[in-house]
Amino acid sequence: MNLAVEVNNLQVAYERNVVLDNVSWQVKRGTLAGIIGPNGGGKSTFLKSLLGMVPITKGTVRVLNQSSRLARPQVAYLPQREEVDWNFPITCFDVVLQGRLVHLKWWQKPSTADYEKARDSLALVGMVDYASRAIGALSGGQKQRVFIARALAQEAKLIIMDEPATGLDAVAQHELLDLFQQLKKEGHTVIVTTHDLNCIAEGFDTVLGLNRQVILSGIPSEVMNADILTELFARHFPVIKSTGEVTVHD
Amino acid sequence: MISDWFLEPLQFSFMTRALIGTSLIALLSAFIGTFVVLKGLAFISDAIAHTAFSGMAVALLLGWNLNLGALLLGIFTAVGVTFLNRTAKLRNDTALAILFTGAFALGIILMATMPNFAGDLSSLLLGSVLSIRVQELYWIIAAFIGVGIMLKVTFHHLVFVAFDPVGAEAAGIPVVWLQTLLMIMISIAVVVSIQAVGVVLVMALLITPAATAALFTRNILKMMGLAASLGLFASWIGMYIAYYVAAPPGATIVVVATLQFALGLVISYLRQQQPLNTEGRRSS
Repeated sequence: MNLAVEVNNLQVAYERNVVLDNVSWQVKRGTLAGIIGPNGGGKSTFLKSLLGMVPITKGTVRVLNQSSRLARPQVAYLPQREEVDWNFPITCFDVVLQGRLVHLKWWQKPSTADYEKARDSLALVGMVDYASRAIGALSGGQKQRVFIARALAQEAKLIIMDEPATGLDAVAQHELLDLFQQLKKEGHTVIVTTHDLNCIAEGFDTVLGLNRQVILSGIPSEVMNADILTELFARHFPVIKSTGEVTVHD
Repeated sequence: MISDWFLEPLQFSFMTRALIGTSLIALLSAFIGTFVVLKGLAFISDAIAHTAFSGMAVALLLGWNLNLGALLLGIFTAVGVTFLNRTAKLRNDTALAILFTGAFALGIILMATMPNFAGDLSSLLLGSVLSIRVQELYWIIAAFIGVGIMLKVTFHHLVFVAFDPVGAEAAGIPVVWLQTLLMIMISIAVVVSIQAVGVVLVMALLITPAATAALFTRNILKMMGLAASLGLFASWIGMYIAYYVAAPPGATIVVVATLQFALGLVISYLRQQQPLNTEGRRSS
């Protein structure tokens, strides 16, 4: 089968603590896939394992039918907000142009064709008017669009985003979901971690619920029900006892 | 006459060499200093300067070229810190401070025990730009050309890594390699700058012009250009003041650069007091 992601019995440990265990997941190409789960449940670690950026203690990860390391030039990763230096003096256009660097050696400079590709990509996400603006001056939704343009300039087949909707207002979240649908139509596979369960239920083809292990996996309308979501997020529900003592269920 | 005032120092070959040397050092420091300021690498750069001094002491002991010794130990520190930061994943300010001050102290002892050199200790600590020889000028020119080429060739990739290291690594950009290269370039800039302003003041040349430029632009190329202009200006004005009032040139250059920064702060504050621009944000 033509898979974008194929994970089998994955185990990842940080300093002897297992943060992901026995995770298996398959994502077909051209799919919009969401990953949900409580904070600390291993969502970001799972994404990094798809990118070959964390050591795996057990199991296998295949991305676009090859090892995650070899697949890197065809995979775009949009980091969490705090991982990017927003004060860095760089324009939106130059951020998008970075997508082209992936296909160049470190001593090669972007060509005219690379510049054109960057401009076209910026136009595709409706941000061409912002080309010469500093990235740090944009709103959260606009920043996400510029990063998606970078992924398009990279000609990435798989686009992975860590919490792209966090901090966006409702309108910007819906615009982002529309953009995901557009990417999917153009044949991209999109994998997103999110806290927005409604967004997953409305617009995603498949969902993975992670809390150290796979708690749910499948088509959102079939697998997302109250019982399983309670189990997934259980440890985040506070329990207030009759004595007034508050504990967090774990 | 102003032209006489300008031309008089140039009659002396030591002044000409000093002006060429400090100009190149100011340009080199401005280009590299831009990255140092943007990525908050000032402390590491200071560590490089201090261990480079120990490298000079060791070179002297072994009969090597001083610059070579400084460069080797400077690069060793730079690469070591990059590696430690990555593998240990801990804030190692304390360990680094202990290591580099210890190495620096050892360097001072080594130098002091060498009877032929003890007298020149202050020139290394505080700079001796007026005694730059032709051979040292060649080192500075080589450093300028070498770092210039490295920076031009890797510029786009370096910016990617500085702006979004995780995204760059995920996309297969050789992040560690490029971070190491940046540290090597910082080491080279620091080692040649020691000649002009000495170990104690080397950070000023690297950081002050770039920090002043950062007050006025949000574009990295413009920032480098402005930092270079400010650095050049500070070097020339500093050298001329030092010549006419018989002040130590390295320290005078640093004082001029610091005044530039103070003036920059005032100007940027006054600009912020202007009415809001309702036509949209400035892109620079």
